[in-house]
Amino acid sequence: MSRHDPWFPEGILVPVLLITLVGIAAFSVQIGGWTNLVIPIGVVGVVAALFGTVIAKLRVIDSLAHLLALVCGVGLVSFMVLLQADILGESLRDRVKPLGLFLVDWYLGKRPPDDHEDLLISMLMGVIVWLVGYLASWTLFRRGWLLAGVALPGFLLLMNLGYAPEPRPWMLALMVALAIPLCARYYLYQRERTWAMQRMAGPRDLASRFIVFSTVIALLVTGLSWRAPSSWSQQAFQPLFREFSQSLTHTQERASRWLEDAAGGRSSEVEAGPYTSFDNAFSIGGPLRLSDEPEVLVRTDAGRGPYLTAHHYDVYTGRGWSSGIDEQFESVAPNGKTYSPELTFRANQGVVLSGDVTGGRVEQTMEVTPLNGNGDVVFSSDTYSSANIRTAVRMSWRQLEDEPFAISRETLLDLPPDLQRIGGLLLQSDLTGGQGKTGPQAAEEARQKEIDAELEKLKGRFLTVRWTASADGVVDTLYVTGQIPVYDDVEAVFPRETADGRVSGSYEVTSLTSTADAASLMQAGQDYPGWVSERYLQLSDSVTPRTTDLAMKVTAGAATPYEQAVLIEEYLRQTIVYDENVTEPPPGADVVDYVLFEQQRGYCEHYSSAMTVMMRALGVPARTVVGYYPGQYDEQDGGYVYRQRNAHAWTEVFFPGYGWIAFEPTAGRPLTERDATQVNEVTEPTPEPLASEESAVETPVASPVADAPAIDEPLGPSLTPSDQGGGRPGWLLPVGGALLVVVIGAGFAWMSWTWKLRGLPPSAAMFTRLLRLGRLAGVSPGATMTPREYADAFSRSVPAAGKSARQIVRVYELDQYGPDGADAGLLASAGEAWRRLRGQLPRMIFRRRRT
Amino acid sequence: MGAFKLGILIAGLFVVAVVYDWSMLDKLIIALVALVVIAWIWSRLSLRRLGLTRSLSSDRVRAGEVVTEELTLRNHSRLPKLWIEVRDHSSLPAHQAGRVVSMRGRAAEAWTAETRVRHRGRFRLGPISVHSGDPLGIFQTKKLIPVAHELVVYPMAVDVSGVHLPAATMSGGAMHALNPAVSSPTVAGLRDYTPGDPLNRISWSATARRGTMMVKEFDPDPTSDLWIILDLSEGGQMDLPNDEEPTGALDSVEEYIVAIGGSIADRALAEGRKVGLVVNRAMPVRLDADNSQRQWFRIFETLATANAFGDRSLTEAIVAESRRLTRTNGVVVVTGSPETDWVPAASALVQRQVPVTAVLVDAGPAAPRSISPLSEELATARVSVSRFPTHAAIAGAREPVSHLAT
Repeated sequence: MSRHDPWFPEGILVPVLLITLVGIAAFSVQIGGWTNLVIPIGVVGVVAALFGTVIAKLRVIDSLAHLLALVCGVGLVSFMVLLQADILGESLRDRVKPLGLFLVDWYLGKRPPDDHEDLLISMLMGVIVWLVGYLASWTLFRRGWLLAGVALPGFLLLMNLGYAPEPRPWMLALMVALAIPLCARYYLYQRERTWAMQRMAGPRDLASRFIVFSTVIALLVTGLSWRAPSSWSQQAFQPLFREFSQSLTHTQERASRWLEDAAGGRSSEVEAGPYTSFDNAFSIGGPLRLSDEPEVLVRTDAGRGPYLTAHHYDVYTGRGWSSGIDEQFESVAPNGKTYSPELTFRANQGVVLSGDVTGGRVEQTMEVTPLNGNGDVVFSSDTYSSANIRTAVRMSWRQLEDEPFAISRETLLDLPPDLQRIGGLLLQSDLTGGQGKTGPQAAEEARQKEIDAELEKLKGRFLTVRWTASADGVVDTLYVTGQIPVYDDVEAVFPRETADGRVSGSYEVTSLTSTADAASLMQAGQDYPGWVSERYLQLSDSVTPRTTDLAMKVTAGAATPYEQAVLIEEYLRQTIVYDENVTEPPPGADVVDYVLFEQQRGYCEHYSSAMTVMMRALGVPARTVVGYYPGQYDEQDGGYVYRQRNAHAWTEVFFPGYGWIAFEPTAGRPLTERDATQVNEVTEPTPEPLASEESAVETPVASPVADAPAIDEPLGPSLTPSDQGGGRPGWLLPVGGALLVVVIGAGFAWMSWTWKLRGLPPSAAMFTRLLRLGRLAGVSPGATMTPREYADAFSRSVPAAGKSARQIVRVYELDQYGPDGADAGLLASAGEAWRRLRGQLPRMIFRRRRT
Repeated sequence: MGAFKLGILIAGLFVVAVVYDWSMLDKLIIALVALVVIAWIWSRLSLRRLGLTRSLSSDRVRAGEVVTEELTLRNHSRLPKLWIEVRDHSSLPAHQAGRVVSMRGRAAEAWTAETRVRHRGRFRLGPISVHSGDPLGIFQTKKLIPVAHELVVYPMAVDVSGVHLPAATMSGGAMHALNPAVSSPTVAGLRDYTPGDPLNRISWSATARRGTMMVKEFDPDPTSDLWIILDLSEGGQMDLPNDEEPTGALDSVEEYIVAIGGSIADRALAEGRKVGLVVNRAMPVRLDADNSQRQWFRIFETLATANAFGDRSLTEAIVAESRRLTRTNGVVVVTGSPETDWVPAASALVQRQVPVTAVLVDAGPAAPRSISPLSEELATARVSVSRFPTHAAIAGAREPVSHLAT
């Protein structure tokens, strides 16, 4: 065996190779594109590895070693940074205090000045590399953890190569090629120690042979792998993984829906998930954990990636956001069936939007490709208009109880779209044909048939219409009972291409993107439509007066809602520190209040919630939107890739005539562009008057495709039947949950009971069971007890079970210590004894409790 | 770095590569998988086409002697073997036949393992297991080579020249200095030949007369019968501190008794006397008196594994043997017990003119009770007493003793 160096019994090659590995990892940081590192990180890494080696060899006490390492590391890095920090002062001494203050500020969350960022990042990276180098050496030479020693620099290298703009796979190859001889030499050292303990002699030149052979292996392995095709895992497994991920997500959703249904209907208040779930509700708070997993690919000619809208929310609960549509919508129709508040649209069938929301907008079409199982929602870039796939559009509804609608040729288009056709027919009719059930009848029979047919259609949508007319036979008022959709108020859009409600490929979405400039928005006024005022001024009782006071204070001097929105947006961007690791607000606290006054940190959902609530507190309708902020353009895919990290929440404020306008209150995100030069392009928000009676009649009213089997009319109002059926009893969830807990508990109990019996011979397993049963009966085995003594003790304690216990012990003794072991007959008799014993278990436990 | 940890690492990297679409990890995964495959193949090949031979210098030695074993490992494969760990699973204490070997293709490696045996008994040399693996320790492999020998270690020889061996009181006898070709010049009769009888005892004339092979029986020498009674009753035993080589084997009174008994038998047989042996314990062992070479082996094979077991008083043993003892016999009792209850039985033998010598193992200060009272009582009963002090007895045995009867 090789002659042992007292300092490096593992051979001098081990520290040399390890320090080289750390040096490579540190060098990867240096060239990894981390801004402009002002210190030689590679040198820091090598020195750290040397330091760790020396400390480990000196056998310094662990805690002292770590403390020393930290102090020396921070000291060395600080010194190196100070040497380069000319901007902090003339001499080194002058630079110390500014650097300290600067670090304190950074620690307190203040954004460093741009010219100081290099220092900060250099400092941080230097310390990280120091710690990696030190720990790699220390763990290997002090603890003998080879894997940790190699993995730490390896991990640092991978991180840098993964995020570096220019990948350098040769560094990884070099690391692998050096790590293999290192592992081989260290393994030999470990074996040599074993051989020394066993006093086994060996050849003296074994170390050199190990190094030669392991180097050959390293070259072979590195050559093989670097000639292999890259991306094989993606090609081979990515589709499988996506399918698996989709299935998993789908199953989770189904389970979630089932549980919600079982609880007696979905509730927006109960256990909402994070905002990234794009569900009907979400809770605010807790650390944000988003990955770089690609979610959506968007191809558009717009020249930049748009904000992708997934869901809007109107109800602020104090802890999160939810949709109020379910409460507003009467899900049980007069025919007894249950419907959801979604309308199904054919491919390319547009949502009829009124002039309230279409002013200053241009059509924009984009191609959306869901990735990674994200095909359960249709994304739009602003206000949704249509998609080239069949969709279900979730929107708000108005409940009408003999609601009068004044009707004339001028105001026909002001009617809800569902009533425009009947309105048009009545306006075209001479209603002098006598009084009918619903009102004066048309004089012409053909016209009356058309009216009756339309009334039947409306009846199919559970709308009852009657009307009155003037003495000359002209309709003047419609009276409507039932519920009608508010097409202007789209909350979310879902694909209905397949039975499972998911999109498998790409789809095109046409949206109306706002081009309104600041000047136009400032002139929009505050004449809000009724549905806007009803839904988007709601505030939770938890909203504190100081929140309202703050909103008023921040917007003091603002003359218009737009100015108010801009001031609040600016205030939040400047005041709240962006932090994805925020803590949950305390129970009972209002999230917005907590964010504004207590924590003053948060991420997008905190910013957007705060802005929406503050705007509402000022009486300006606002809502919170979730989706994605613009992704990066990918040359290979020819589109913008939206990753999970792009998931975002922002605020939309309503401006009459212009609809919902997005604001970006999140610090760090670029402000929404509203170019003043676009003022001239803004379409007038005023709806065009109806050109003629004919056009009024032929205007394509909102005509979602009938989805309910009960409704035959293909162009009828399209209430989508809900999966809820008649609902399930409310007790089902707690009982089912309890049952599940019992089943899981029983499973765990069974596992824990049988786990330690694995691999035991039958007689030993039965004896072990006897011991367990004995403990339940209060008979614990003594440390010096033989099995037979234990059986006697058991018999004394539980006389009725004594015979069975003795039989089990007798078979155990024979099997363990007898010359031939126990035969099948004996084992069977012991099994029978065990079953008898088990039957007496309740009595034993009862007896124990009684005594 | 075991295969399990490496497997976990590869699986983790694979998941990360797939989930995060990280193509650079693919190469690393391939490298690690290739490493695992190479290591596995390496480990499978590392113990193939190996041969091992082992030879022992002697399968019978006395405690304190050195046993030599030669081992040869042959690599019949063309592939070199980077490291092979040869582990010996012998039951012989301190036997170091294990070794680490690195071999080229078609090469052999031989080595010698010398072990000084300290304890008597029967030991197994072997089997041997060979261990090897890849150079990174990812996979290990081992193979058991079930080659084993039995080694019998006889009791250590101690100096018993000072012990008086009782001779019979009958006249006409004289002790021979050397082991004679025949035990007695007086032919007592003829019997049928049995395999193993020496040729010089064949009576050719009687064979010619009877037409079948006949051998002569000789009269016993009146001075030759010596009965050795070893007291291996558990009550009289105790451990003794003794780490010295080569007498470390004498680490208990029991070992002294056995060693003294063996040495006396050795001496008596060398003088041509018939020697019988009684091992006194709960399950006593008795060997009839004989002066042949086979008797030497019988005695020493018995003593190699004799150990204290249960309690049986010396009185009982002496009384049981006294029926067979006559004036033609001498008795040597070896004991370490200070108990005096057997003195009357010994005295009775003396009164029947059976000479008795008591060898008393004197543990000195280590003993809980002094042996002097026993010694005095025996002297009073006209029993010849030899005290064998444990601390002094070693002196005579420091020189390797190896005069096995041949």
